[in-house]
Amino acid sequence: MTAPTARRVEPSVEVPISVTVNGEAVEAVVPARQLLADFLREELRLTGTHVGCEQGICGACTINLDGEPVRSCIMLAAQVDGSVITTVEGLSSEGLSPLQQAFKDNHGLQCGFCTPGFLMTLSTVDPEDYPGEEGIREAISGNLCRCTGYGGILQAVRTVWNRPKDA
Amino acid sequence: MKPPPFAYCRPHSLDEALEFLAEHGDEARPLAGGQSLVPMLNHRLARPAVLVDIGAIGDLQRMDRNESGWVIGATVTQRRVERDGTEGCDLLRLAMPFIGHRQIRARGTVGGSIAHADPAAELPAVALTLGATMVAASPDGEREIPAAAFFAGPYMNSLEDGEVLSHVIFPTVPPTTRCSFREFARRKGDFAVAGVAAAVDFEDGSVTAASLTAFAVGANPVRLTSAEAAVAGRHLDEAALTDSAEAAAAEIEPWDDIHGSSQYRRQLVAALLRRALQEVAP
Repeated sequence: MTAPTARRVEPSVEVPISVTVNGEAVEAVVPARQLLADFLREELRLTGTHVGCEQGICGACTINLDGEPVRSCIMLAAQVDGSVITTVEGLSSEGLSPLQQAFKDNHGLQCGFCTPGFLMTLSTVDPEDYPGEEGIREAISGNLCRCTGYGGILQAVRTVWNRPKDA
Repeated sequence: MKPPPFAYCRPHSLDEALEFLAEHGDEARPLAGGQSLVPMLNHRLARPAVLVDIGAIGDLQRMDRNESGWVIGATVTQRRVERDGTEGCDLLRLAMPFIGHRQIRARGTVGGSIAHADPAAELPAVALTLGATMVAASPDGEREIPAAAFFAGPYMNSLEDGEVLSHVIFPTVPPTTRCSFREFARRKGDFAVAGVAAAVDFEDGSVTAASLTAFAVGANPVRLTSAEAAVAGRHLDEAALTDSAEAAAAEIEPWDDIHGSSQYRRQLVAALLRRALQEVAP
C-alpha cells in the first residue's frame, strides 16, 4: 500500500475542489451533499445541463467528464476535484457545432429538454465504437426523449456521422 | 430529490480509508462510482453520516493479469473493462454491455456493483459463474471470500464491519472454455427481468465442465446445478438443450414482482439458457 501523500483530511460538510469547466479553471468550496448537476447550474450558472429524473435514468444531465459521458445528477460535485468537464455551453465557442446544426436541420428536438443530454452523449462518444444504424440507437440508448422525437434525432446523427440510413 | 447532509472525505490511501471507516462505524459508507449509492442518497434510502470516497485510491484502480486470473481493483470502472477487455476471461467482457448504459458504466465500478449485490446485477452473476474471489481489506489485513459465500441476500454481502472490498480476482479460463451471457429486459439498459451466464468446457465436442448461473430470479444469483448435471459428458444436441433448460426451470424458485411472475421467469431462464448453450456449443 502506498503511504498517504498528504496529511489526513478529515470528513467535512464542505469540500474544496479545483475543476476545469469549459476550458476555465474553477476553484470552489462545495457542500458535500451538492450534486454535480446542481453545482453546474446554481453555482456556475450553466443552466444548459438539465435536471430531469435526478436518479440516473433519463440522461438529460449528461456531461463530458474527463472524456466520458456521465450523468451529473448521480455524481457529487465533491467527486470532480481535478477533473475536466465540458457542458453543452462548451460545445461551440461561436454559433452551433455541426452536431447542434444537424439537430436543428433535422427537427432533432421538440420541447428541447432532453437535447443537452443527447448532444453531450453524442459529442463525447467515438462514432467508430457505434457502427451502423444499430450503433446509433445503442449510442443514444441512455438518453430519453419524452416527446418521443427519436426519428429526427436519429436523422440528425446519421447526417453528422455521415451514415446513410440504408448503409 | 437531494441527498441528506453528510460529511465527505476522499483519502488517497486504503489505510486511511479503512481508518475513517473504523472510526465512524455504522455511520459511514464507502463511495465507489456512486451509480447505485448516489441515487439511493437522492431518494434518501441511505442516510450515512460520513461518506468515504474510495475513488482516489491508486491501489484500488489496478487491473492486471497474474497466474490466478484478472485482478481487478474495486474502483476499476465497468467502462474500462469493456474498453480494454480481459483476455482469457471472456465472460466478463461479454457481460459489460448489459450493465446500465455507457454513462453508467463510465462511473460504475466492478467492486461497487459486486458489493452492492443487486439481485438483478450482472457482475455478481459473472463472479459466481467463474468462481471469482473477493478480497476484503480491513485494518487487520486481507481476507479472501469465494463468490459462492459472498452474496448474503438482496443488496447484502458478507463483508464484516470495517471491511472494504478491495479487489476481485476473476479466474481466467482455458481456451477450450466457451462463454455466453444473456439477459432479457423490457428496454435496453434496464435491470434484467431474468438472465443467465454460462462457461462451458469441452473435449471432443462433449461437455467436460459446465458452470451455469441464473440471476434476477431471487435474492442472489444461483448456480444451476441440475442444469449443469443435465449436460455433463454430453454433446449439446437438441435433447441435451431441452433437458438442461427444463432442469433449470424446475430448480429455480423465482419471485413474482411487477416485472414478471415466477412462472414467466422460469420460462425466461429456460429460453435464455437454451440460447446460451446453443451459442457455446462447438
